[in-house]
Amino acid sequence: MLIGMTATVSPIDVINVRKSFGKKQALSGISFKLDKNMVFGLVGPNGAGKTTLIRIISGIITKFEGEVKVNGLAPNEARNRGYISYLPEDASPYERLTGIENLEFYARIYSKGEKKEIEDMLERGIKIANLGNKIYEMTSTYSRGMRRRLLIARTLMTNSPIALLDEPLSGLDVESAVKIRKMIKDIGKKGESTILFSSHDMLEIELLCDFIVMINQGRVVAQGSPKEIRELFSAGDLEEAFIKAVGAEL
Amino acid sequence: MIRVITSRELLDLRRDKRLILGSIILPLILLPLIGGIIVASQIYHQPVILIVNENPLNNMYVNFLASSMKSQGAVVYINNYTEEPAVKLVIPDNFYINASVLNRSVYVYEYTLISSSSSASDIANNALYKLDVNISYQRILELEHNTTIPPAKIRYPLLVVEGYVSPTGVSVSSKNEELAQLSRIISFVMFPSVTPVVLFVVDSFAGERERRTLESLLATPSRTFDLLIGKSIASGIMGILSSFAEVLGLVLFSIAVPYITGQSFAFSISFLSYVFISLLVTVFLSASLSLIVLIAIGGSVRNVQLISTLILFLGMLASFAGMLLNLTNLSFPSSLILVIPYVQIAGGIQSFATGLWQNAILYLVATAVASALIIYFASRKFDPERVLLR
Repeated sequence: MLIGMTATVSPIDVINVRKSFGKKQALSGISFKLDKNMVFGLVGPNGAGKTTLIRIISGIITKFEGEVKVNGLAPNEARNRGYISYLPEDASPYERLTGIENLEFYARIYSKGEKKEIEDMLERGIKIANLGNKIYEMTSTYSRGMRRRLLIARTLMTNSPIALLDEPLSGLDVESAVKIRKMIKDIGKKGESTILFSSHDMLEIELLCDFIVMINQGRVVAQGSPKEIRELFSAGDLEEAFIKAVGAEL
Repeated sequence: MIRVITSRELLDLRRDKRLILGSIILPLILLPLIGGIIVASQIYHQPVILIVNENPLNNMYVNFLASSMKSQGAVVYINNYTEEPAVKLVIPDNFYINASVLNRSVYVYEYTLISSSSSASDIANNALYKLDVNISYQRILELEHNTTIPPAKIRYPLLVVEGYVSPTGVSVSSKNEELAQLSRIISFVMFPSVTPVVLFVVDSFAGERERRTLESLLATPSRTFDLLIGKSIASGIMGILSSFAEVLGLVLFSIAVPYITGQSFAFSISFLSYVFISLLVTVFLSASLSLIVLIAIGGSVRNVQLISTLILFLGMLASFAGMLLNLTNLSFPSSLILVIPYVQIAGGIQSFATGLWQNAILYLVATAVASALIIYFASRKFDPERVLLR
């Protein structure tokens, strides 16, 4: 079932992707295709293969079976053209740089040195991070929530066509998680980028995403809008739908 | 893009005070400290020598020995001592009689304390040699009544005229010999001194991986080549600063050497310039070797230790080859040693010091070109997955 297919070039097109690390099969034939400018949720338990798939889409893992197209290009080609902005699950900012210096470094890389573009990106980054004067302090003094906000701002300020956020809310306190969730939702509404958001938290995904791919043990077990998936499995929420999709017992 | 990456790396490195302390200040003070230890050992640990005189009629000879040994810096006791002597000289009862009779041998008994400083033994032997010369002079003077030949002609029949030639057979001055000796010392200290660049290069990937900043960077539009070059330049600059600190320490130490040993080294602007360029090429080679090994085996902490050990091993090999071998006139297959990284740079420094400047330039250019090719090859073979996940 492929929902959201259009005749135009898909921002992310994953076709029968397989990847193993030694004897461990991380992905066993994943396929899906996304529409432009939506918030897309990749959901599954820890070890399901979410991070491996995102690393393939981001162009970091280049050796795999199957095909991935990002804006119609191979992932590393799309990355080289600045189509991808990626926030890894356990990323950190540069601790001996201030918040603004962290943003500026990435703005310079994505803008290819154009001053006006750098200024626009920084303005957007400062707004998204919403750290006040703390943005001018060393990030080593930041709380975990502040670091996460800075990193999400760094990822989203570039206005790349595709933003990959791997478990951006994991380990955050409630207040920080709510703020960041709202921030992502706002950007999704503006439709400036396609956001791929991974999480093992089904309820969080349900709140944020327009389209969901559920994976378990390296395989797709369901995909569609949150409503479609709930209806498909006659479930009250996505957690229940997932349990039914993987055939587990409550 | 290279400038952006280099600037960020340098800003990060500059703000790491511990790194600055460890990489620049410590190498700067290391060699002067070693010099200080040598001076301290000269001042506070003078060699102690005891003379046991078994007959007061030997006093003339005993006083001569004591005076000679004191002038060389030794503490000399006669018959009684308050410090444990490193060397004991026994002047026997019949010494003065045997010394005055032409056809008799004169015995002195010398006992050296095992594991003591060799300088005490050297000083004692030097004084005994002078005494030997004086006794022989007295004997020659006694024979003088029967001949018109001056005693010096009998005592010193061998005259040596010294000169130096380059490996190509051209006569050179003693300055070239001093430079050749200095080139060996420079080779010995130069290669270990560039190890910081290895740590900087490796840390620029493995350290970023550990600090969890690498994965985001690998997904940016920065080209692999820009990334490698940008990081290598930053590491190279820090490595050069660190090496300079060590070289500056060496210069400070060299300034102190004449005060300690009474010897001096000959420097020339052209030779110092060549050493400076060699240092840059060595840093460049270290960066390229670190990168290619890092890319081949991955950036885990264990691999970082392996890379550092491997490159330090090559550096040590070149240090000892430069110190112990004459690399300017090797024949096949011994000349294959010049293929080992860093050894050809040691060969270049020796070649320049001995006047073989064409060989010296060839070694440097070949090393620089090989380093550039290694970096190009590394950028072609760069696999983010390997560096990030292995």
